[in-house]
Amino acid sequence: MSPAPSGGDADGMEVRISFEATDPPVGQLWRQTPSEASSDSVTRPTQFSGWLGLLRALSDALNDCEDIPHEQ
Amino acid sequence: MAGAPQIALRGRDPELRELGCAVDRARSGQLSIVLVEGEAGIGKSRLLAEVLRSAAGAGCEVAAAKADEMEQTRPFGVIADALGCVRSAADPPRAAIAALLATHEHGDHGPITISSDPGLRFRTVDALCDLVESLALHRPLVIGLDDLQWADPSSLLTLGALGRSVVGLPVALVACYRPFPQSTSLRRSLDALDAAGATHLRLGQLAEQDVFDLVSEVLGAEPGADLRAVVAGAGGNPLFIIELVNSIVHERTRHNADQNAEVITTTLAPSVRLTILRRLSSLPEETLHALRAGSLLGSSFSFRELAAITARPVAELVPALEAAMAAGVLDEDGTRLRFRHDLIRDAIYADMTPSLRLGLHREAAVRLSEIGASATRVADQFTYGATPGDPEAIDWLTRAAREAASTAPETAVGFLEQAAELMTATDPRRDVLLVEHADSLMLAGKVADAVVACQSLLDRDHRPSVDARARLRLGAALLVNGRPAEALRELDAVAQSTASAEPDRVCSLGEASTARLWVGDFDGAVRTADEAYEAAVRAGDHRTATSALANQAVVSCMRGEMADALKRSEAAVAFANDTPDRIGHRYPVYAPRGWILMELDEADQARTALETGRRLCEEVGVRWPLATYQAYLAVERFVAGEWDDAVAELEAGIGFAEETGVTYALKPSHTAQALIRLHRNDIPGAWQAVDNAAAVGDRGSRLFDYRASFAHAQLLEAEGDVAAAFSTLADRWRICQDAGMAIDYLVVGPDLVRLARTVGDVALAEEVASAVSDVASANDVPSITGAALRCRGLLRDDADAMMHAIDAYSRSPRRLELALTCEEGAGLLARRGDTTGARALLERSTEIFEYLDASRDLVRVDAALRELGVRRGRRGPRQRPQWGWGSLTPTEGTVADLVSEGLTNPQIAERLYISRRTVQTHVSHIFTKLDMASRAQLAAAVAARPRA
Repeated sequence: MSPAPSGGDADGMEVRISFEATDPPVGQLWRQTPSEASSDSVTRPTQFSGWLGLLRALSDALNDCEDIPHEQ
Repeated sequence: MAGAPQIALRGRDPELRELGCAVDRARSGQLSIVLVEGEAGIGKSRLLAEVLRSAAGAGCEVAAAKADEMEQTRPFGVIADALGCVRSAADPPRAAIAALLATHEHGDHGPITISSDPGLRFRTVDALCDLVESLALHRPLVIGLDDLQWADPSSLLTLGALGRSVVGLPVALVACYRPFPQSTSLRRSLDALDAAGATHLRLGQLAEQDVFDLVSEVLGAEPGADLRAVVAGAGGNPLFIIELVNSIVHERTRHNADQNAEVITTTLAPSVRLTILRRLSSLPEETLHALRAGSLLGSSFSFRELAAITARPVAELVPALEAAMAAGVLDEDGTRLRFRHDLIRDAIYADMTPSLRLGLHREAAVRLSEIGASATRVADQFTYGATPGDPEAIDWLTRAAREAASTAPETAVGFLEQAAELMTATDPRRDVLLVEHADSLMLAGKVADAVVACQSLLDRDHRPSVDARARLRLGAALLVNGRPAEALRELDAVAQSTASAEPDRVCSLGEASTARLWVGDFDGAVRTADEAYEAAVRAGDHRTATSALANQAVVSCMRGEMADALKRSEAAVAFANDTPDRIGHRYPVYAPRGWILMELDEADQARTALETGRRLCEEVGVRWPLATYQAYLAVERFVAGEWDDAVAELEAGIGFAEETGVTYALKPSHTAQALIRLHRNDIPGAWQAVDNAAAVGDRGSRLFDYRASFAHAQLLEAEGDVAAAFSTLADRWRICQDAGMAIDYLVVGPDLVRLARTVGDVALAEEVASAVSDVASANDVPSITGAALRCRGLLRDDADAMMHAIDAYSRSPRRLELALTCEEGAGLLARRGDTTGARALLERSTEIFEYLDASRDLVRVDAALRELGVRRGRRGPRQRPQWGWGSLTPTEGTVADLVSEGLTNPQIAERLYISRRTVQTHVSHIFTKLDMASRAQLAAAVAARPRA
């Protein structure tokens, strides 16, 4: 899968996915940026169900990432 | 709403050519069948659409439909859709079929059993075949059926029947299916279509260039090397390729300097499902929600259904659905929406977790029930959405089973099995339901399964209240399965048990009477029939009362008490006609009546009775007794010496028996075939028929065993083994005697007297002649008198007796017996020096054998004539040619004329008072003999044929 949206800068961003089931996938997803990591905080988990849910959660996470100011 | 643009069909030129030829064959008046097999997404639907479009352009009428995975329980679903059979149809036959299919919808009815309702299934099959035939008489008809692997069993049954019924008509049938799954019903249907001359196309992966062209069209630019490498993973499957490319395009492709499209990142190895989902993931959440709901309903769904299960007004759904259509996920299909491909629906459906699907299906079931959807539609949802013990699901599944039972018994079986599975072991309704399940198995023709189902219920702890009912079903199933002795044990147990409810006891008595008849216990059969009749009249069970009277009539016939047999059979028919009932109990009584009239030499009346019974079966839509009627009609034609017609009737009857598994009357059919072949000097064919009769074994009534033995003995004698022939007949004689089957004496008697004298067993010859004489003295029936006199003539070399026998046989319709007696009489006259008289008799037998086309007998009679100094000169056996107009039998000639007048098979059947199955056999023989393949060709040839 290629979750890299063009135009966004995902450097340093970490996405964690926890699976309760795999086919179809069920679980939750967290996005963590370095700044957030330093403060030991992660985004609120996004629940997903199915590949469609996972893809959308991932896409949302990456899109959100575009809105975050990055450290130079 | 606007859909996605259509992409050109690529790489299917050979298949298009083949299908074009099939349509051309139909346009030239011939039936052509093409079966297209290929994996999901390989392009079957697209190919079919292309062929149908071009057929419509060429002036053909097109009937097309697609089966739906979620609608496999809808009786006649895909075939009725294709032919436009809806209640609102302007065309009366279409509307009538729709009404037939709706007969048991929304009704408040109890379980449907093999004895309570004859079923609408075969009536519907016949009506659909008639519709196709009449449509094809107007203009070439192309039927396109897609996704046959999801078709319901009744549609598949109809397809098999179409393969037989529309031979020689301008019909092209193109059916597409996946290699998996293939149900037994699909396999059977494909086999039937193969037998009708179907050709097969297997769609494989697209060639590399076609893939390149396809990708170029989707992209609007030529793909670069990396993209080509990614697309290569799609295995040449066009749907996969399109989805993959669309998905990549969606995730931003770039155009390189050479104007080649290229992927910008490598992707994981693609799978169809993930590729589809990846593309869909960009759709609005509202659209995905609607698509998920739609996927629960199947490949297609109505706005109303979707609105119901999403609990939202249609207007609110429109934007979401428009987005799905714009993305090429849904297409409009009349008043419904359809997933552009099943794989898209599958991907969406499988992307929901099993627990989510379970819950959503259950909710959908409830909501569909609230908007008045059919029981089967609701039950389908419960099938996927019920948990153990769910009372609502159990009720709907049971209701759906009853709704489906008359038109789709296999479906009813499935619903009842699911309902039983949901019930807890202690549920008081479970055993009752299992008995109903056994009934549905019987209706579905799965008699052996019904036996097993009843046995397994009875072998475990079960509710005492269902014991009698289950045992009664077991007895009935064993009887139909050709196991009368085992049936009798169960039926007697029900009749004798004080715990049995009166209706069950009465019914078991009737069935037990039949079982006793079949095992040859005539005294017991009458005793039980008497008891059954009295009890049935008291209980108002008209079916049992009728059957008891008919059994009494058959016993009288077997005992050679023909006047009594006639009286009782008249009583049975009168009782059946005077007792209106939901039960189709009138149709079985005409079979014994026809047989009895045949034994009484009343050929015309016999034929009328048998035709009446056959027509009743067709009218009420009951298929299983048709094999018996067809067999009896064939035997009647054989006995009356109309052997050409008998051959066609026998073929049709054996076909019916094979189709329905009703083996009851197979023995007399095979025996008549053997005898005709023997007399026509086809000894290997005769042995084959005798072997076929033997292969039936004990699966049926022992009443017909003597006929098989008789043919066997005749063949042994024909091959020169007189001792074996004698011993076979002598054994049979003892069995007939022990059982009191006096009616058989008449058939076996003359040959046994002759053979007994040949081997020197004069005592047996005397005994046989005397027994036949006793039967004759009790009956004033020409052929019975003839048999007795013939026996006497053969025993005592008594030419006078033989002359009287000839007189007697002359007053009967039995041509074969008359010819043989003339031949035997001639021998006796010659021995006493009356060569003139002998010659006259031999000439007479020659005439009859010529009529029968009995070449073997003619050779023998010719030799006898030569001994008397007579040469037959140019007259010879008729020896009808095998091919050309001269090869047609008189009936085939008539059928050819009626075909040329534009009559359909059912219309010809009506006109000639024969079954449509027999007409099909005649038409098929005509085509073979004239080397033709279409009715149009035949009509032209008939018109051009010089008339004598």
